[in-house]
Amino acid sequence: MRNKSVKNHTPDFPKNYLIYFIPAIFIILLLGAELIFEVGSDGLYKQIAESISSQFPDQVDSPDMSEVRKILKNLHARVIVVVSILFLCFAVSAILFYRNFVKPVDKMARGVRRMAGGHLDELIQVSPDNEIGKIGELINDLAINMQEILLHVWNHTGQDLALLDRIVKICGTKPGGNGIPDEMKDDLRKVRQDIEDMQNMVKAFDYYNVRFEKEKIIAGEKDRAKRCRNFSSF
Amino acid sequence: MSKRILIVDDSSMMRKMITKILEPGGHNIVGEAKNGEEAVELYKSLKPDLVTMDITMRGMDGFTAAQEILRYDDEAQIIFLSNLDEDKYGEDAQRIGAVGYVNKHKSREILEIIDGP
Repeated sequence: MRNKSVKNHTPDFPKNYLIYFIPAIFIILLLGAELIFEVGSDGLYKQIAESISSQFPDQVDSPDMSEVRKILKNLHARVIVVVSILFLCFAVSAILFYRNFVKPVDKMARGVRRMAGGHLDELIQVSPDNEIGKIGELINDLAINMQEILLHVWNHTGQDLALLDRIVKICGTKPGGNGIPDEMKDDLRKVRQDIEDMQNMVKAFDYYNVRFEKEKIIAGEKDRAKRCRNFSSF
Repeated sequence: MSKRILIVDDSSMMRKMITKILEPGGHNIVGEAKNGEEAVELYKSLKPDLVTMDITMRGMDGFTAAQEILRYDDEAQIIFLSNLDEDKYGEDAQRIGAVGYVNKHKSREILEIIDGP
C-alpha cells in the first residue's frame, strides 16, 4: 500500500525528457530536407540564370552557365554533408544526454521512490564522478542517517519500556503500599502506548543489513556470513 | 589524558554525534572514515591512539576492518560503537581483540572506557 501511493505521484522520467528531443529532431530533419531540396532543385539554378541574364541584357550570346551549375552542385553536396553532420551530432548528443543524465536521474528517482516507501536497505547505485552521482551519494547519506535515527529510537524506546515495566513492578509489589493509583495507571498506559507506537513506526521500515529478532537488533545475513568466515580464521 | 581518535561510522550524523561527545572530553578527532576500507587506510596513515568502530557499514564492515587493523598493529585500541545487540555482539568484539563494546544509545559510556574507571 505504501508503494502504491508513492508510485501514483511520481512522474515517468525518461518519457518526459525524451519528449523535448522528438520535436527538435523533427525540426532539424524538416529544415535539412528543405535546404537540400532547395539547393538541389532547378528552381534556384533558373533564378540565378535569370538574374545574370537580366544584368547583361546587351550580350548577344547567352552566358556560360556550366560554372554556376557546377558551383550549385558542389553547394548541394556540402549542404547534404553539413545537415547530415548536424543531425548526427544532435542524435549523438541526445543519446549521451539520455545515457548520462536521463537514465541516471531515472534510476535515482526509482531509488528515492523506494526509500520514500520505507526501504532504507536499498541504496542508489551511482558513479560519484559527476554531479548526479554526488546527489545520489547525498541521498544515500540521508537514508543512512535516517536508519541510524530510527535504530536509535528503537533502542531508547526498548530501554524505556523496560524501565516502565520496572516502575510498575516496584510500585505494584511495594510492601505495605497500595499499588499504583488509578489515575497514574491511565498515564502509564498512555506512555506505554506512545512508546509502542514509536516502535511500530520503526518496524515499518526495511533496514540495510540489520533485522529485528525478539526486540533485539541483529546483523543481517551479509554481516553474519562474513563474521562466520572471519572467526573461523582465528 | 587526551587521545587521538579515529571515528569510523557510515552515518555522517553519528560521526558528528560521537565527535560532540569526545571533543569536550579533551580528545582530538584526527580522522573520520565512512567504511571499513577507509578506516584501514586512515589508521595506517594517521596512527591514532584509539578507533571507534561501527559494525554494519556499506562496503567493508566493522568486524573485518578491526581485524585488518589488528593484523597491521596488534596493539591497536578499538572500541565498537553499534546499534546491534550488545549481549550478542559484545563477545565477538572481545574475541577479535577490541577494548570495548558500547551500544550507540549509550554512547556517553565510551568516555568511561577511554578515560578508565
